[in-house]
Amino acid sequence: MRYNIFLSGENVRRPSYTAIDYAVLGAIAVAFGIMFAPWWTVYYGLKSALGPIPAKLITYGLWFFPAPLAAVILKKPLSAFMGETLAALVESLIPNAGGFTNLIYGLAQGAFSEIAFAAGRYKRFGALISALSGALAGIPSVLLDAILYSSIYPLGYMIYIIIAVMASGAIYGYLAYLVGKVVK
Amino acid sequence: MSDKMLSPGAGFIYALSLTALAFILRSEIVLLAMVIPNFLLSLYYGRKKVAWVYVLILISAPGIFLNALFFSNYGTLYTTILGRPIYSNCISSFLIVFLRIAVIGSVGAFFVSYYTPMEIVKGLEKELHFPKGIAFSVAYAFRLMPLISKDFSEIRKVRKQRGYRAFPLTAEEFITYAAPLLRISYERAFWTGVAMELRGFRLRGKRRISSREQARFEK
Amino acid sequence: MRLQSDEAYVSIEELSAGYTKPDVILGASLRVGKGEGALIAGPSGSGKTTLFLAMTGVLSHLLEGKVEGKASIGGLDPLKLEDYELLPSKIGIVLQDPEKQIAMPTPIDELTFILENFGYSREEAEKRAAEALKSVGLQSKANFHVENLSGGEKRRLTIAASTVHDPPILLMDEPTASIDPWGIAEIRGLIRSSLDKGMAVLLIEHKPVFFKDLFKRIYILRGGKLDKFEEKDEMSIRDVDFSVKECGEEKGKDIGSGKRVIEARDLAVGYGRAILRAEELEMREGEIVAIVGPNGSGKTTILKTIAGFIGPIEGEIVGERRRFYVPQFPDMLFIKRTVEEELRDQKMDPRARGSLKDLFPWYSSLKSSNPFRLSHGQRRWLSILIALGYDPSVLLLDEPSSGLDLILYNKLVDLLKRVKNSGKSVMISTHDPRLIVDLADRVYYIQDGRMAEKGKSEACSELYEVAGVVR
Repeated sequence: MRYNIFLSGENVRRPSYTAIDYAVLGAIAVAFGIMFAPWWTVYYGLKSALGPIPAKLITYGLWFFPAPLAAVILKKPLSAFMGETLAALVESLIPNAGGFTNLIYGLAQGAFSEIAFAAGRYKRFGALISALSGALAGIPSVLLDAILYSSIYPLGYMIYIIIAVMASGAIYGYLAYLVGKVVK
Repeated sequence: MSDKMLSPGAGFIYALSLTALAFILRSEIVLLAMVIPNFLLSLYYGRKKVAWVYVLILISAPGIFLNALFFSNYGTLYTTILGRPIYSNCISSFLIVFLRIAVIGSVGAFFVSYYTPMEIVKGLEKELHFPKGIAFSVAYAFRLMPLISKDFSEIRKVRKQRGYRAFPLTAEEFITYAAPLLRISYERAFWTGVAMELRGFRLRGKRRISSREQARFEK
Repeated sequence: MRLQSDEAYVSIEELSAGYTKPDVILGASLRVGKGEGALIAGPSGSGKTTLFLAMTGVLSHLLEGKVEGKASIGGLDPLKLEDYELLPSKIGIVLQDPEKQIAMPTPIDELTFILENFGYSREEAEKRAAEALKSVGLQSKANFHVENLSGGEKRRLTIAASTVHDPPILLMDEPTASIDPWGIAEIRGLIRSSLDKGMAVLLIEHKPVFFKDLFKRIYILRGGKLDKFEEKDEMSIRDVDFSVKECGEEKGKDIGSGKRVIEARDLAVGYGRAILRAEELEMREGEIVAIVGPNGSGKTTILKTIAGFIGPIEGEIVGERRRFYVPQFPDMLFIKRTVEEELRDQKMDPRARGSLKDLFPWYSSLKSSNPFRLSHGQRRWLSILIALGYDPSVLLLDEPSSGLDLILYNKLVDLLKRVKNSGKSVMISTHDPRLIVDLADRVYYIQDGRMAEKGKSEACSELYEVAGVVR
């Protein structure tokens, strides 16, 4: 695979992916595939207790976690995108109510998360960029929700929803950075 | 490859396309027509594995209806429930969204009940020409799955033993569960990656074996 | 099989290597020819794994490490990228632990995938994979998920995976790190048959006691230096396990006189179905009891049942309620961000908590470190101290000696003796004959799904015998 479009001169090291990287991505994917499932219960529980916006703020960013985590661990172009997409692909292949929407959301969230690391020219993988990466992933997930649930979606609240989801993404993005540091 | 009527690669495209269509279609009849065959097939091929997917879909119905009632209750008067007027748009909005969810759930359920994970992985690599690394990642994920489930439940039990909650409820708690799980998995993945590198992963798809080498293996 | 002249040799010359600069391995040289074997022994942290990664090119090509000097394997120079990519067809590799090298969900997929890497068509690869599984007796389990194989079956799968492409050279990096004596016997068989075939065999190992009789040439790696090792040096080496433990004389059944802390009769344990049965199990106050058996025989399951993590399938366990299970992976126990916070956890028993930091030998230098950042041995140590903080009457330790070098092993033995002397009871699951001799008061031995008491020295000798070690 070539990622030349992302490379800027010789500063980017190790652009190609090795079997180690793919195995690590697979491990992240399945760990989250497994942890996402019970997390839905937490989300619905909080939603019924506190309402949708606080529930989204507290829990939603977990679904964006694999993107910054993969980037912080692998530190390569496209690692955020692949981390999120593979976690979503694996989730799609485990029986669950979301089916292939997981993959569609994952692709979109992964692509948006990647923007943060691309903006750092793949040299910066710190706390701030990780938080930004998580926050960016919130945008497509809210937009996709708006399309899927279009006829019953509270468009008037959209701004609050986006803010809550992005804030949640930022929190979890920062946590992904902390976890990434101890994992490797 | 696979003796299935529909090859895994074709099945993947089928499931992904129908799911994407569910995002935009607005016709109840068309959506219903998509749900029924997938629903029946998924029950036929994997009753136990997918039954609870349908339970979850049914559970989501009241929430969808409430949303429709709040945000989409206009049009012509249809009926009255508990003294509240229900307009036509509320009903059709509810049906569209509910059927979309049902399409997504039933297509996914059909897909995972019809194919084994390894059939899907092989379909991705051989038929759809996904990069070999992606197929490897997914296969490895399925190799690790029971191991990580076991780790996860062990971590939860050990936490309980230490007087902590067996399941995380906040972000802060969540990472104390995720960190050991990911750390153990990372170490396994790292070494498995090294093993695969030294077992020819780089050569994969790059060359055919030469007849001389073939002859050497024959002996 | 006929090998070409330079196909089966391994040599390194003045090889220096490290992660940021070449400071872990310092100028190592060695040569292994066709039909020859070499054993490299060394304690933890001596650079054994770095040497393996460096000579195979993994360190420089995948991990951005620094390698200087020369390496040659089967006529290729792994330090050059073009040659590194061709290296797999020359070498079979066995790594530490089946969990760290099986990549595919089923045995047949594992071998098929590897053969496909080398360019075989799917049909051909599947055919050969099936043959290879047959040769290690796994044909009936070809389509099982690997997690449904026993420990021994997994080990045999890794052996098949390392040799399915018929390489002229065999490289092994601590293949016994987590295996039992039964697995050691299989690795010994693999080494013998490979040497007979005329392959070159290089084994890197921290427990040379199990293999030294198979090798004419033994090297010792310490502090990054690789030296030839002579029989007479054995006594002077204190941190590497070169010698077989004396199993001692049977002292007769020595059941403690303290009160019973664990008692069970006609016990059956397992997840859903019984995998292990014990007619009788008991433990007294201040006693150390070892549960001995192969990997996957239910040692962990019975400890978890005693801990209350899973219910017994038949029977009932009575006795002291305050039991604490320390998992095989110490990481699972860690919650806090620093060692200091872990050892001061408010959920612990206030009195027991007070003395913990004195029991952690590295406390002053590591108290603000993240627990995950400690070495393997230190993490194991910390996990046992956390358990002691809860002041349990029964401490359940799952393979506490795995992965410890001799120095730490001896420290662990001292620590557990102190625990015993304080009146606590300790149950350990193990397949390490040393632990039986050094610590256990009594032994329960697992065979064919049944667990029964066995004499200490008999159990110890049996483990060495199973491993095939010459005494």
